[in-house]
Amino acid sequence: MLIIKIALRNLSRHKKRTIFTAIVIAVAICFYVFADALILGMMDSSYENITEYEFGHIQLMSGEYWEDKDDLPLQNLISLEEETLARIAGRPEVTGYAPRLDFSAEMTDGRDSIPLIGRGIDLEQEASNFRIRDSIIEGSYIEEGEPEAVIGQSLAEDMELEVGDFFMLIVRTRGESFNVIDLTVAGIINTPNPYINDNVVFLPIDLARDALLVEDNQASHISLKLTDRELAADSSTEISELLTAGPASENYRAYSWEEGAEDLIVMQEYSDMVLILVLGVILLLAMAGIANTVILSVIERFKEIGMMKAMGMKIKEVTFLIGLEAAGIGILGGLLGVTLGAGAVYLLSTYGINIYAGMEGELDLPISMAVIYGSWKPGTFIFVFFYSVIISFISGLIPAYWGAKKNPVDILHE
Amino acid sequence: MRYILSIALRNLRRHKLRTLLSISAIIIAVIVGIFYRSILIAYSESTFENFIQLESGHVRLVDEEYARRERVLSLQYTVDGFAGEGLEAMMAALKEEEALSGILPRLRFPAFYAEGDEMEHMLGWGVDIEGEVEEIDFDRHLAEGRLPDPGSREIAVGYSLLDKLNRQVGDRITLLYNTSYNSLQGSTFTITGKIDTGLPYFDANIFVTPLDQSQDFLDMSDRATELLLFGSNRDQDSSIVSAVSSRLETDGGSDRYQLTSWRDSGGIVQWLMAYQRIIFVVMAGIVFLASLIIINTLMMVIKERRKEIGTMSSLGLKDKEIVMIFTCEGALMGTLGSVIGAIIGGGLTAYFSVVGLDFTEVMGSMGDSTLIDSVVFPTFSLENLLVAMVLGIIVSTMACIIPARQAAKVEPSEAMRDLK
Repeated sequence: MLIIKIALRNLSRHKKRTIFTAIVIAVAICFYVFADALILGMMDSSYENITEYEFGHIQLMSGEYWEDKDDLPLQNLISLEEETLARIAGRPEVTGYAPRLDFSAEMTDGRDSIPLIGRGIDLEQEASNFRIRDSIIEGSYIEEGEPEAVIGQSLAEDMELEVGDFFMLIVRTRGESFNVIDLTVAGIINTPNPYINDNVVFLPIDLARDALLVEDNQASHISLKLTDRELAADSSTEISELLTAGPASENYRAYSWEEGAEDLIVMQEYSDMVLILVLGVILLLAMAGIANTVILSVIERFKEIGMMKAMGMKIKEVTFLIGLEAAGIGILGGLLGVTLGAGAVYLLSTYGINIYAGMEGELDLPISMAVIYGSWKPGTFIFVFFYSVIISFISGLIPAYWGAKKNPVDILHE
Repeated sequence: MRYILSIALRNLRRHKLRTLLSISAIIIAVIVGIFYRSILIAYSESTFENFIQLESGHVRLVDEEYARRERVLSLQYTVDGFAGEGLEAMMAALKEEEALSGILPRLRFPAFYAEGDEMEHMLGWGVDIEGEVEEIDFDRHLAEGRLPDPGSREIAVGYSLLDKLNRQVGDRITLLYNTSYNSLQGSTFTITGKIDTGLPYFDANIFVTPLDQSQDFLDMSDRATELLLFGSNRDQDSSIVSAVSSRLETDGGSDRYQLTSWRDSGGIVQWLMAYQRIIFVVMAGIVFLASLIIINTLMMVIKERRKEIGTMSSLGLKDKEIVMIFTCEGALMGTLGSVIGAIIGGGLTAYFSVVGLDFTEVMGSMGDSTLIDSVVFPTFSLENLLVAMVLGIIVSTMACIIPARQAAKVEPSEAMRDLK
């Protein structure tokens, strides 16, 4: 207790120096917290792009289809018994499902053509589980039973299509022949997911099945929505078990969105690596700053230290005392940094930041190049606070020991 | 001035350990800055080079209408001469321009392949094979076989596209495409080579075929969709633009062709340039943080030497000179730290630019889809060292002005006061 008191008094003796060293730590922490929130926010919005517009949380499909899902084959489609589907949809974490039929197509207006993906959707289910209908900026959603389609804004601009215009999709059918689907643009959507805006044409699933010669209850996959995206990994394992336990001989499986979004997970890991690097730089700077301060104060106080030792304090105790001072600076810097960081993250989550300002074109990833908002993660704050305190304490110990082991007689002699 | 410097130097030597400690943070900051930037430069340089060679040239000439809806890859808006006299004549005229060292015509067209119930879309590039080899060493991307010969129906295919098509070098394949008259036609090609550029987009989508062949089967004789213009190096872009655009003014075509420098081509190039600016700001921030430690030391030094400062000012030194002495002291520390940092950082990058930094273990779980090579060879450049060093010196010197001004506030009477 006494030691803590002495440490506190020593810190307040040199307020400016203490505060300056604390500021070094605080700014570094603030920077880390901010970077973490920014990356988290970026990942969050990307994950949302995937789960709300594209993949859903879980997709049910056959194992063979999963293997070459990039080729959008019309083989190995999924068709579930009413009963199985009801059992899956009845699970507590599942909020809805939507079957889809994806196919490779060539969009043409007779003059220009663009290769893209046709997506046959169940109009009701898709609208209630995904944000396609809510993203319509012009025109309306597809009418039941009409040969209509919804397309992205950038696609519409490239093909110079407007609501009410006709276009064709050239497709390869299951019968290994070409077919043409005539469609009218019912609505134009603008989603934060650039992939959907550029590459996907939504049309009624029945129409797609007829044109592709696919049977009535078949789909490429059935997309499930859950109450929370964090549940997807566990839930997909359980649903997979449920699917393989059934009498069906098909090799059906449930895949979570994490499995579908490999590229993004890679990016996440890369970002984590960058954060570790930042953490390393903080560590080095804080260590240099603390060591500097501690040595300065030890040099200043050789006499005092000698006195304390002469009065019976052990080397261990003196070292600990000076280490505590360093930890005190760490606590101060940590508190200041966390407070500043919280302010910065608050601003980031309220106003957002447009880091892509002035840039044209898009990257080949499902990241929207819009404003990014920060995300809160309390764990980061707690972690970085203790990190700074511990680092400060440890980097104070070495110079403290160096000062503490000096012979009191020599020092007092000077 | 001289004596100010020598006072500052002497003061630094008085407490060698303290000086060394105070500059350690600057050293670290400069090393981190140099090292990180060298990795970034290495990555962006190779990206810029690939982008320039495969996508943009130093300057790209296309029809305005073609560029407006580039994704459609329309065959209606082509490069067919200044006033429709044909591609060959236009290229011959452009070759006389001194700013240009090479011109690569390209004819890009969508094509697809259908087998069973699947349809595979791809992108064909009709290119001047000899020109590509000569100007951008296109043959270095060849992983297997050879490039197609002009005059024969041959193609070289990106390796992952080849995988998707289930074909091998030597096989034949029938591809479908729309001609410029918008009729769907097909041709059978012999696959002569496999291409591996390392760029996923290229390798998964593109095949190249001789320009004369593509002009023939697309009914586009003496036309191309774009011209890539090259100068002696990539900084020649603006002189190419001005030379070619004045040519377009006199010979015609200025109202339909547009010239775009690689810098303005968007996408990854601008992203990387913005990223480089961000890194520069972050570096300055780290150096500033490190400077706080020098400020800390300076404040302490000033407090220690109040008596000395008082004496100096009573001997007639002006406030400005006292500020100079302490700023000098700080600046010297910053300079020393920056120089040491630059030397160590330079040594490290020089070492790793040869050995390479292997991130394979860290990125082990990331698989092949990674955008970034797992082994990085940082670029060693004097420019990089200089930038970091100068940044370190400037930021730390500016930071030291703040505490140095306090020194000037010391009254001459302090010299007489007993501080103890």
